[in-house]
Amino acid sequence: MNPLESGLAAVVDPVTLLCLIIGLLVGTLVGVFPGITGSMAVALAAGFTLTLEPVQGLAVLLSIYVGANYGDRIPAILVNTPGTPAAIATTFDGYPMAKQGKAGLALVISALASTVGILVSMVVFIIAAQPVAKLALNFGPPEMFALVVFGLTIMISISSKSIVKGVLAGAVGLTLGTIGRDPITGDQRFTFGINDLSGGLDFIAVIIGLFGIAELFDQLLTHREQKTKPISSLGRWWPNKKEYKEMGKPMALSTGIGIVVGIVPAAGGDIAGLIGWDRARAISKNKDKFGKGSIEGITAADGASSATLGGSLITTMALGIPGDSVMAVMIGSMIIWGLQPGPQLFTNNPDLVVSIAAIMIVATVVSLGISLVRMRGMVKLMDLPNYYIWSAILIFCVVGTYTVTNNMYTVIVMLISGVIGLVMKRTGFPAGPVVLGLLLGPLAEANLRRALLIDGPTIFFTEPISAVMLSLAALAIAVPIIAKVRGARRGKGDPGSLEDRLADRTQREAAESKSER
Amino acid sequence: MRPSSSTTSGRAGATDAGGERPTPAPRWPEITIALTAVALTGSVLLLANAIELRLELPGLTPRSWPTFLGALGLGLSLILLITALVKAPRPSDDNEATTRAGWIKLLLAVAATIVFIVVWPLTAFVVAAPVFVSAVTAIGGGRGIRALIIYPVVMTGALYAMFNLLLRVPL
Repeated sequence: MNPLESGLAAVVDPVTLLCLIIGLLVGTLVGVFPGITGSMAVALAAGFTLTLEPVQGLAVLLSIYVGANYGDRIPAILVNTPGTPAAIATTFDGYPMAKQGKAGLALVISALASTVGILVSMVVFIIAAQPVAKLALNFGPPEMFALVVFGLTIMISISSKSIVKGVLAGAVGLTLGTIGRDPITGDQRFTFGINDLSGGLDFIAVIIGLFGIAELFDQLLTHREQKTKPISSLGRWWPNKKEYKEMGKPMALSTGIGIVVGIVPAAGGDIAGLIGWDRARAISKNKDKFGKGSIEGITAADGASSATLGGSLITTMALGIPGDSVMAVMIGSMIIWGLQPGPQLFTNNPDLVVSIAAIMIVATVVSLGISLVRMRGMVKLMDLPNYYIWSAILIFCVVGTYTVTNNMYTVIVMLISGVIGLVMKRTGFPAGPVVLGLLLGPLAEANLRRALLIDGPTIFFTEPISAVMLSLAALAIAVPIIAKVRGARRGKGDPGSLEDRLADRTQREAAESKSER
Repeated sequence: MRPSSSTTSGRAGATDAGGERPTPAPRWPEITIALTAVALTGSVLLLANAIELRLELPGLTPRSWPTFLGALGLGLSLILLITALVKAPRPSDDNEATTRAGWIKLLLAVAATIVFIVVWPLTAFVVAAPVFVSAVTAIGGGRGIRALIIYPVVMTGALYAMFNLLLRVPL
């Protein structure tokens, strides 16, 4: 069998399809509950899927990724609360539509826009991933080191309010990545004679701690009872001809934006949704309708945030650099299965790349079907008391982590990571760079040492690809610092992270748009 | 549950009761954070220099990368410390305000998890897990037979069936 046939055959296997359906249902539920993010759910599921075959495990993880992307729009539209950060921009027009008695229409338009966004981005993945991987195959140690530095600095510049804290978080992640045996000589580093530390910190335990436990602990710490009654009258369901026509232009624009944002390491659906909504508003003839229940607005927001999925897969699978936080978890799981995402994946496991594309496409089509079923049951689920969800997350975190190594030491690492993650969250240190540093640290160190040993330090600046990537990395750190200094001189105060600035600006515009009415 | 993103969370404590003037933020939290970072990164630097080498190789040794990271971290921590000492702190508007009840819930949940980690290997999963789930549900505010007995038993049964029977991972 050729790779195409064997890749597709692995996906149509009944067990894989069952895994896909389970993942979709879990993902949709995860999306519906605000506060449980896709990365948290994929991190939790990673512990459960390690005993499965790689394709079956990927079916669970990827379909959670897709399912959460649909489920998170439901609370955004019905209660004005995004299920995950990727649905922030959905609230701008989704909730106003629901208040006008068009909740059903908003849900269908959102599902259609998400489907088109993901499917088009997957076509781009199928076309572009192999050439990108082919290019990356020529990368030597200096380019690989520069790529890791580039990915890390982009994540820091996007997610950090304070660049110093962001870089420090990245350095902490890279330092955690040095725990265990040295990748070249095998010397013990920071193991303190503890045998369990020889193999390094368990990545899955750390991410479950940082993304799952830390978030749960923060919710316990800050929870206040507040009830927002979901809108129960869904109204008309299907768009008419004129409404379909209205969706065309923002759909095309936002899908393009989403794919590009998705390719940028660490930039995800939240940023794409906000940019997509903002740009669609800028080119629309009906700007005044944005923020008041515009079909163009909800199409642009959901098309852009969903189209990041394919873009993110390109960066992850072709370069081995996570396109977003969910993909960071995915890379961790793939490494445990003995698969290294990156250019080698396309030569060593081409059938797996086919399976990944097929899983994403099937999961998207099935998700569309689930989304079009009238979701009154989902609305009721939002009333589920928090204590059920908290205790379920906690036991899933503990059991999921335990099964990674069948050793209580891993659970202790997870719990400590959770407490550290909570402290980081409350003190303004982003968790993303820690995870990325831990994941890519050994790769960065090994390539740095090889490059210096073979060619000396000048190689990083004489090789064009590494020189460009290191320059971009320097810019990614310098630009926010310069913006901050200029903002302070003008008396505007701290502009915050890129995510915060975009969210603040678009939320302000949406609010102004509403008040003009 | 409320959303997790800082961009979607409510921003508490940014203004005073009149809503006009930002509440002055205390200086000590940022100084404490910076001092902790200095201590930790300084320790990394010292420990990195103490890494024992079995072979002396040309180029970078196993000490070099951790030493560089320790030095980078220490430099950044010192910048944080100087900034915390010199610059007036911004009003904290990133996190939702904590509650006294929240702290109690958090400490009890951490304690329950530690007890579970200790007790599970000594007893059996099917014994320890329902008690743990019931305890965490009660800490979260759950009351009654459905929340404290039926739900923990069903959850334990589902996890046991999934791992022991479906995934063949012994718990």
